[in-house]
Amino acid sequence: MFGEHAAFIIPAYLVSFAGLALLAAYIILTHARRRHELEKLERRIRESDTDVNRPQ
Amino acid sequence: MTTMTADTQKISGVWSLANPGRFMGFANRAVPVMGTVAILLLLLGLYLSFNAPEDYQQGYTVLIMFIHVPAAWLAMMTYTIMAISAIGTIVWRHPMADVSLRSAAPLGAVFTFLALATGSLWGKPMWGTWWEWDARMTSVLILLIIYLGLIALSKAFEEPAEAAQPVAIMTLTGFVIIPVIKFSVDWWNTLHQPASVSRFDRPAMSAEFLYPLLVMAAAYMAIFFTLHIMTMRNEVLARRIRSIKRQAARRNSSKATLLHEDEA
Repeated sequence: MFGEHAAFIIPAYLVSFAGLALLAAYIILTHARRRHELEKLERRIRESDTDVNRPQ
Repeated sequence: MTTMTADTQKISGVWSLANPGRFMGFANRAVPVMGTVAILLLLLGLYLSFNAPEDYQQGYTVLIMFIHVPAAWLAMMTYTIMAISAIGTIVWRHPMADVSLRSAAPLGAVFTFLALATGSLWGKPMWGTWWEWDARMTSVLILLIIYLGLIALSKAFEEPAEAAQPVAIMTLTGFVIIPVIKFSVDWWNTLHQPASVSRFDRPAMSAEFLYPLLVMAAAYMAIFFTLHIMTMRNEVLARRIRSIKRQAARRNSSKATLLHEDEA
């Protein structure tokens, strides 16, 4: 389909799209991980503030 | 009481994105839209590329041009954006400028690597070699090394605030490579062909190749801006997490001090 140099054309496209897809996947997974960590930290702070303010 | 003029309101509207909280709100709204635009442009670009005719010299190998050239352009554009962000860090000492710089570096490194990899895969059938120490190829390799060096330098400091100035200064110093890459094909008569598109006179490329190339370049730019905003969002989250952990550690340490004083 791509002539005699298909063995160069197809890997070039595969490398490009694999590179961009892996980059995007890494960024998306990092975002999910950090959001989860931030929510956990903020929940912990709210709980510790509630404990401090609870009447003894 | 100060009153805001229309100009001040307009300026503050643009500059309001420099506030991390407002930036996050903007990023959460913009990313899905920009991502959709990027994917649509990419699909259109691929359709036009695969429907372009064979080149009379290169045959179907010309298809590699539609991914190699945009990657190379983005490699240089990303560094230019980093240099502008570096000026923002040094002149205005703004944390979002540093966020932009640190976020763009890995993206630029990936685009540079893709430009080199696809260039090798294009060079082997066309020139009979995977690599030559040609002016253009060598200067792009130096650009990749500069990107990796900046990423390493930014990670060498524990606090982002400490890293901001050194990384910004090194970014501006490294910017000299961009005009070297651009004009290398004119200054040195080596293997890589001269510019066909970005010339001062009209492009030396027929429309049937030029339009798919420009659409793919637009797609790559849209991909970059989407990923850049996403990475900046991640960096802002990381700093917020660091700040909360620091506050919690200070709070625990002052509680421990109070307990110790009570016992004494």
